Amino acid sequence: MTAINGTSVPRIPPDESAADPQRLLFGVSLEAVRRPERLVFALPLAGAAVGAAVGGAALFSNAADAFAVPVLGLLGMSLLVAAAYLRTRNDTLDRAALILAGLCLAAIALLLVLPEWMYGGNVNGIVHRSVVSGPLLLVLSTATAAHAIRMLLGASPSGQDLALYPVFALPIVLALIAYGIVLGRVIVSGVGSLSLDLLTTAWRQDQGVTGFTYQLGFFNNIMGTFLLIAMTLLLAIFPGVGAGVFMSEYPGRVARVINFCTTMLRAISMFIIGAAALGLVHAAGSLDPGSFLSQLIRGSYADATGIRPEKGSFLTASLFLALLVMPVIARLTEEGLRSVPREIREGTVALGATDGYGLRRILLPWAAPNILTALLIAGAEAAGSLAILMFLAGPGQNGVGPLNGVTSLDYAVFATRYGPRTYFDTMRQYQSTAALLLLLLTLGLTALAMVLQRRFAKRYRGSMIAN
Amino acid sequence: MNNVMDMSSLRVAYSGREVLHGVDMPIAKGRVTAMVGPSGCGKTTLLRSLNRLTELTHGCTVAGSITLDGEDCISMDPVLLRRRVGMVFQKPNPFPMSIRENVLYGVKAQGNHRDHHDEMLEAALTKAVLWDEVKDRLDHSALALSGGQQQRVCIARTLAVSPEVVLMDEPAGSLDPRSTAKLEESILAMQGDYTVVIVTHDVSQAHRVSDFMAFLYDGRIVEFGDTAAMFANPREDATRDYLAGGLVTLPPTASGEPALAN
Repeated sequence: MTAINGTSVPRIPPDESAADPQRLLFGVSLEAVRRPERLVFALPLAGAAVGAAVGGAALFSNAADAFAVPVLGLLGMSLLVAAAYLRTRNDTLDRAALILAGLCLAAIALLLVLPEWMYGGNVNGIVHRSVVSGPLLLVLSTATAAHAIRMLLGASPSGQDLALYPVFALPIVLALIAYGIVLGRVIVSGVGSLSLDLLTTAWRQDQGVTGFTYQLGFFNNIMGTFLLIAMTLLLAIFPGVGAGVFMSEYPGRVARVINFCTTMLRAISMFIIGAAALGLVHAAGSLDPGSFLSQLIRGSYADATGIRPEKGSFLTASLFLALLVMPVIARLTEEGLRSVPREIREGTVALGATDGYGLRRILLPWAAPNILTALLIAGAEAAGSLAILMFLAGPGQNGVGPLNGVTSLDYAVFATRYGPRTYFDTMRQYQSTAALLLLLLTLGLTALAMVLQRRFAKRYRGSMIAN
Repeated sequence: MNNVMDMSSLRVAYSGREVLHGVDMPIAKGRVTAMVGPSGCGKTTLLRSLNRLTELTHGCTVAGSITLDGEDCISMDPVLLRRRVGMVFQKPNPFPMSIRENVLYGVKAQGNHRDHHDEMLEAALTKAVLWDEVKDRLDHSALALSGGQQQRVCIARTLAVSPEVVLMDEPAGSLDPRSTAKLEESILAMQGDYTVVIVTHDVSQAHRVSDFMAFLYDGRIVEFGDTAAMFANPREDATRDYLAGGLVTLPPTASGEPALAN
C-alpha cells in the first residue's frame, strides 16, 4: 500500500496474464515462435540475403555473374522446401512461394539461354550478362524476403508492415548503388591529382620566349563559383521571396497570374534561358568593347592594347541564372508561408498587428527553413547550370569580379573535355578533379543548409524541448 | 446600461449560406457577457464578427451594424478595430517565441518599441494569473509551457495592449479542470477593467464568470439577459432545457435542418 496525501490507495496488482513478456524484434512480437512450422521460412529469407548480396555484386563485377544461376537455384529450392513443409504440417498451400519459385526457375532458364556477352545498345556494342542477372537477383530476392518476413512475422500487424520494408528498401538501395558508382568514379579518379597547388593557382597562359607557358589550377573557377552563387542569390532572393509572399498572402487574380508564370518559367528548359543569354551577349558584340554597357554585359579585361571584351560577364550570367532559380524560391516561400498554422496567423491579426508586421515577425521566420532550402537549391543550380554558362564562360584567367568574364567549376568540368584547345590540352587530366571539387562544394553547401535548417526550424517554429 | 458595443440586425453568411439571421445584442462596459448554445449555432461566428476576423475567411459576408463606443465598426480600419477589441482563441496559440516576446508582441506591433515594457509585461502576466509561475523564465520559449499556461500567455498578450473589449472563444475548450479554474480566476480578475465577451459550451462556466448571458440557437438569440436571473428564471423553455443540460426542443428550422446541430 502506498500513501498519497495521507490517504492510502490500494495498488493495482500486476496483470498475471501479461507476466509472459512478449519477445520483440524491431517492435514486432515474435508470434511466429508460437507457430513453429512457419520458422522454415527462415530458409528463403537467408536465400534472399545471399541473392541480394550476389545481385548487388553483379552490378559492380561481371565475375559475380558466375554465382547467379546457383544462387537462383538455391532461392527457388528454399522456397519450394518451405512451401512443401508448410503443406505437410498444416495443409496450407503457399501459392506465393510457388509462384516465386517458378519465377526463379524461369530466371535460371533465361540466364542459361543468354550468351555471356550480348549485343547491347551502349557505345561498345556488347554488354555482359550480369546486367540481366544482377537486377533479376535483386528483384527476386526482395520479393522472397518480403514474403518470408510476412510468413514469419505476419501474425502480428506490425509484422505485416515489416514485410513491406524490403520492397521500399530496394529502390533506395539501387539508387544508392547508382550514386555510388557515379560519385565513386569521380572521387576515385579525382582525388589522386588533387593538390593544394591546384586549388590556389589560377589557370593562365603566358607568352614566353620559346612559346606559351601555363599555370595550371582551379583557383579562379572556385572563386568564380562562389561569386556566381552569391550574385545569383542576391539577384533572385527579393523577387523570388516577394512573388512567394504575393502568391500566399494576396490571393486573387494577380496571384494566379504569378502562380502560372512561376510554374511555366520553372518548366521551360534552361537552354532557352541560355539561348536568351547568348542573344544578349551577341547583341552587345556590336558595341565598343570599352563602353560601359559592353563591359556590363560581356565583361572585359585590360591588356597592353587596351580594354578587351570577354564572352560574358559574371553579372550577365548571374542575371540569367537568377531568372532560372527565381521560380523555385517563389514556390518554396509560398509553401513555407502556407504551412503557418491558421491559429498563429489569426493570433497576430487579432493583436492588431499590420500584415507587414506579422509577415516580418511571424510568417517569414516561420517560412525561413523553406526559404533556406530554396536558396540551397538555387545555389546548387547556379553552380551547376552549364546550359547557361557554356555560351558565356571562359577559363577565367583575367580574374574574378562582377564585370569580369564569367567562369566556374562547372565550366571547368565541361572545358577540360570540350573547352578551348589550349585549356583542353593542359587541363584534360584534371577533369575528374574539377568534378570532385564541384561535388565537395555542393556537399558543403548542403551540409551547411541542413544545419541551418534545423536551427531555424527550432528557433522560429518552436520545438517541444525547452530551450 | 452603459454599452461599449452594440449589434443590430447582424447577419453573417459564408458563401451565401447565412449562419446568423439578424442578431441584436448589447455588450455592457466592464462586464462579462457570455454566449452559450449548441455547436454550430453561430456563437463563434458572432464573436469573430466583433473584431472582423470573419474577413479572414474567404467568402464570408457581414450585414447589419456593429458599433464600438458609437463608432461604426464595419467602416473602421480593421487593424485599428482589432487594437481596441482583442481576442483569445479556443486553442492556445502562443507564437514560437519567448514568453516575454509573446506578451509584448502586440505592444510592439502597435508601435511601442521600448517604453515601460517590463512594467507592461508584469502587469499583463499578473492579470492573467501567470506571473508567479513564469517570472523566473520569461525568456524561455512559450511553447515549453503547459496548455493552460499557454492559454494564459495568450490572455496576457491580449491584455498587454489594453483593449477595450476582450473576446474569448471557448478559452477553456482544450484545458483540464485545474487549468480551467485558473483561467476563470483570470477572467474574474479582469472584471471592471475590461469588457469580456466569452463563448462557451459549458453553461456552468457561463454561470460562474458572466454578468450577462445570451443563449444562441440556430443563428438567432433565443434569450439575453442577466446571468443570475436567466439561470433562476429563464423566459423561454428552450433556454431552460439547455441550461438544465437537456436537449433543446425547438421546432425544425425553415431550411429543414435537424433541430439540434450536433
